[in-house]
Amino acid sequence: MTKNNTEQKNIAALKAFGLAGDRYDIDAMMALMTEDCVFNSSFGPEAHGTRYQGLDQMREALQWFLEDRSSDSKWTNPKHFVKGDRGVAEWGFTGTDADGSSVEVHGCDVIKFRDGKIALKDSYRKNRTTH
Amino acid sequence: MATEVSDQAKVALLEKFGNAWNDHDIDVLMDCMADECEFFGSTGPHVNGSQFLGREKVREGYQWFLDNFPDGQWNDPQHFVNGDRGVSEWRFTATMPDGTSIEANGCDMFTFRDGKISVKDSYRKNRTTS
Repeated sequence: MTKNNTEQKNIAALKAFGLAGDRYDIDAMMALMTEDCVFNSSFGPEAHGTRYQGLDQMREALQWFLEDRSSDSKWTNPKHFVKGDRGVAEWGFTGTDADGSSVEVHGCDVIKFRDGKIALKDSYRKNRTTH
Repeated sequence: MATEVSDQAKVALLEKFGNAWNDHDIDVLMDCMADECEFFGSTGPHVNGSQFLGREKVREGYQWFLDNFPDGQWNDPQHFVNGDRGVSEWRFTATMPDGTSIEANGCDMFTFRDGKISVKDSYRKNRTTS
């Protein structure tokens, strides 16, 4: 596959992943991830955030983020770019935090692709202080 | 007039910029920045963290970091660039002003103009203690 085809396939997967997230369509999201996928969330006790590894843990993580934790999560104004097998999605996030407070922050996912699927999703959010 | 600068040259710019952070060299940092530039820090009251708009504010923001984290290091950097966008990933280690140490992964989302950095938009993992 040529480099351009790889990048086109990767950015299509990244955009489809975001749209599936908007629909809370976990099956569609899972179909875009490799079997050995890794998701490092934006927060947690380790330097890389909380790590979820493999499809089973990934599904649990997505269910928690999309279903258990918040029913009003929205990702707005997504922007994507890809270079080879690396890529980025930047977005605005609005939703409700675990403590019930509403939250609005910018965030991003830094991605590694393999075979046109997401092999690593490293998530970040701004640490928004009270104002 | 806009000049065409290769992705490879922009990766080299990000390597120079990352080394300047580790060397705590404010002049080299600013040499990597475009005349009109912005810096959004990972933590702050705005949706995009803290905001430093314009070259003088960006310099003040960078200097604040260097002053507050005198042993701050951005370790194991990885960079990629496509056109006018680029990313650096790193693992930040430092002694905090209160004496505690911090180690957290982070990244910069860059925008380039004429071969220099016009926007540095920074993120760090929100490392919890439990």
